[in-house]
Amino acid sequence: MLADIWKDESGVSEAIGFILVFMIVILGISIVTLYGYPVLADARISSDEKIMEQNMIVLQSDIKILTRNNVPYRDTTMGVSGGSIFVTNSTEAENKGGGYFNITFFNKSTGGPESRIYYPGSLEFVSDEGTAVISVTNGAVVKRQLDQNGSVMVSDPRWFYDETNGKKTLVIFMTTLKSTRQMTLGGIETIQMRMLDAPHVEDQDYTKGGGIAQNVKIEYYYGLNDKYSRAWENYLTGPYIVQNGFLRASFENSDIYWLSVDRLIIKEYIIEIL
Amino acid sequence: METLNDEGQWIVMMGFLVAIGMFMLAIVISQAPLVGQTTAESVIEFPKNEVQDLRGKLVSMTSTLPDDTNRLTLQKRFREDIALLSMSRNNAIAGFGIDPLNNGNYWHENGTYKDIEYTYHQINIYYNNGITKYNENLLLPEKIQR
Repeated sequence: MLADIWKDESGVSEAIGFILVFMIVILGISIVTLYGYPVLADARISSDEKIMEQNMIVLQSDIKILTRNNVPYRDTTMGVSGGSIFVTNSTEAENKGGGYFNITFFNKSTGGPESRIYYPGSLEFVSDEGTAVISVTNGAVVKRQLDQNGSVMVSDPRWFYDETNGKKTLVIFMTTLKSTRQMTLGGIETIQMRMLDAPHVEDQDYTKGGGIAQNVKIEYYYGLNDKYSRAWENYLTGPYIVQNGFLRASFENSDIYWLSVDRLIIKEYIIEIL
Repeated sequence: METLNDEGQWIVMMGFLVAIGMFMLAIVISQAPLVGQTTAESVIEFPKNEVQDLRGKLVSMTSTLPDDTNRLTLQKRFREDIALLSMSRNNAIAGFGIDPLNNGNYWHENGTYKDIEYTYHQINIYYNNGITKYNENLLLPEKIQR
């Protein structure tokens, strides 16, 4: 009878049953250790990077408040998790091959072209275990992966373009970092910043009094260890400042961008990190 | 064989429901800082006071200038000062246009618009600080003298 087969317990070994159950438990634990744990660690690293990305945006908006809202002093406390922040000031960037911008424009008062070189410096977060490098530089937040060519702009700087009444005006903000000493930040840190010097303003109005529009040229030179070419290319040639973007010089591997403007304003801010 | 007592199953069921609920909440919370920040930023950064200042200055300019003999020169200087101050203090491109129908002549006798009691002089204010682009058409009434 069928019921009897199910009820019959002869031939059932407790030892084999125990081994089977034990095997299942061991298998479960080992799968979690082998596959689950690395996934968990990865998740932690990437969540650290996400948090630091947010923190860098906070730093960027602090810099924006200093430069644009006429606030002289600002400090932020943040937990630097899963890496460290390195402060590179402008002079250091200049001496050690950091990235820089070269802006060439027509100077109305001298009647010739003029070049300005800006070494912005950076506040750079480098992840310990992951590969992310996130940097606050020149009013922008940019991100790249170690040993990779690409980069992405996480948060734009606030350059803008205005075309009211047909007058093409480009406003460029250059933010330069200054610090009295070398700095590395890790753990819970307070970053103090101030801006005491008035910004240096370059205001060129070409069409005032019947002139013609002039080209402004922006060149980005990436640093030896710090390449954000792609981020700046996408920002400048994309629709973020001007609808059609800047024109890019056509030859290979150049980071040279053009735009024809009626009026050009360059404001240079110097932020001091204490 | 003794039948299984399954009266406590709802406890397990509730456990599942609470766990799923907490998971959903965690997703919502993880989205919150980003949304909050962008919203707060756009509210805080709207240049309300700057635009109001500009408007106030324009209204007082138009009420004082008509008696002046050099009013067009003064208006031109005023425009340049506004542009300069806005750029250096607020990083904004600001300006104004006057009476588009009558070639920028604020003191045109019929105004931009007119009804039985008043003439209306139109002033167009524009303000752009890179985030906020603001345009306003202001109609200033002037009572018709009889």
